[in-house]
Amino acid sequence: MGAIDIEWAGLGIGLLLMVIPVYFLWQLRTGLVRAILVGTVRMCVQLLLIGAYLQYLFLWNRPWLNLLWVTAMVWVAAHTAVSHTRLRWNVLFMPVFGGFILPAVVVGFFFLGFVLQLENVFSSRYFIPIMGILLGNMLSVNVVALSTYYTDLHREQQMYYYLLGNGATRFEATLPFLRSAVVKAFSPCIANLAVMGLVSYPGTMIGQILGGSSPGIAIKYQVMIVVITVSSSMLSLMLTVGLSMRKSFDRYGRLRDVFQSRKRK
Amino acid sequence: MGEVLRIDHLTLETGGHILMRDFNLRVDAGEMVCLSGESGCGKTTLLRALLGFVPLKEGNIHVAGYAMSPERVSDIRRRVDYVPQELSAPCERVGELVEMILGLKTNRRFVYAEERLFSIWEELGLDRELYSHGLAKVSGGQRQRILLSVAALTDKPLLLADEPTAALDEDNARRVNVFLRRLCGQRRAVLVVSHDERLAQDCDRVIYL
Repeated sequence: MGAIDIEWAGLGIGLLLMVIPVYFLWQLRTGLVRAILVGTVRMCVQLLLIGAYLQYLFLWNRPWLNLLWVTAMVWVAAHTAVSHTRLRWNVLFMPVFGGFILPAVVVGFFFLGFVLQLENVFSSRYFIPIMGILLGNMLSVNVVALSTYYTDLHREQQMYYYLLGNGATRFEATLPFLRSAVVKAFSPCIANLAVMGLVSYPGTMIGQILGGSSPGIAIKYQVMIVVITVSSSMLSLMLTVGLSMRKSFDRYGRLRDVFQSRKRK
Repeated sequence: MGEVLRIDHLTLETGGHILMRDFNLRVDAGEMVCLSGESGCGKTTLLRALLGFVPLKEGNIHVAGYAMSPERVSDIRRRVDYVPQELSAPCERVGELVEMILGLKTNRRFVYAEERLFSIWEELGLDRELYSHGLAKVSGGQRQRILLSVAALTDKPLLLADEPTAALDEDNARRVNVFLRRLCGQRRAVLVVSHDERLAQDCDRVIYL
């Protein structure tokens, strides 16, 4: 049994539910009404275009094209992460790009090759969605963690310089900041793990069931998706911070200004 | 007594403004030297330059035989105890801060015993119950004495302290002066930045910047 298709009219009716958040955002004068409307329109247009594009990608199923597509996804994810953290492009872009692509490749291929045991790990039906879900999770973890890490490091420079001045290695002097960034980025994810299936029914599992898979298969996929997203996100964060450290400090360990300067109004 | 610190022809600049020009200083083990001067004359900046936190415009700094350079700065820092004037730390308890500093790789060679720490605290007028107190509830003066006590547990050749008595009443300032003098009696030199006349009087030399 396949998934029941949603008619275009049904999609339109479903979108009417967005009236609820828009109404409250307007009523509470949050200033976010325009943002949510633009965001919703962008989401619909982008997904329609991507949907059409993916149909061809699946049809052609060329490894080099799939790789190119995933590279573009990594580029966009890294760009989004750097923009959202307000960190300097020249300092953080390449470390974030590297910190996204390496875990995606390592964990993604591990899952596709050893767990799913696909003959062709580049098969677009698996390769692209798996890379997409890994990158999406890495992006949200990295945005929170990088923001926390660099904001705390700048705000509490005294502590960093105190530890460094007392003989700490650069890693030791930044460890308290890395620890709090990891705690902040992973706490929601870890809390979610504990209630999965009880409070929340995660997206992959729901998608599989709606797509016609048995609950048994859906659960196995869900477990693996959680495992690969958490492990790749942690690997990504460590790599991003590790790679960015080379550019965020000078040869004496002095912290460089890694934040974008505020635009003048 | 051997040379611990040597500053040769040092020029420091911040924000395009020359703070000091052609400054020279030598401090030997067993010596306690005070850097004094008006606010903004560069005392704290000089202390930070000794740790490689401020670029040198001209001149050089040698600590325990190591010349300041990117390759040698960590050797220098491993031979220095640094007590800043203020410190906000991401630790909940005082004990956590103490353990964090003494747990650094460079400090693991020094034997740490709580009783030894508490006897230093007694000398500095600190209550041992502070160890389990929240760091946020500890005053600036207490915090600085805690950092001094941790510095005393290591046996490094140079102690740099920035205004160690600024937040203290007369009794506690006196305790800190005696304590610093005692530390100096060992194989180490002490360089303090201070406006405190009493502390300056207890030093072997006072350098006015």
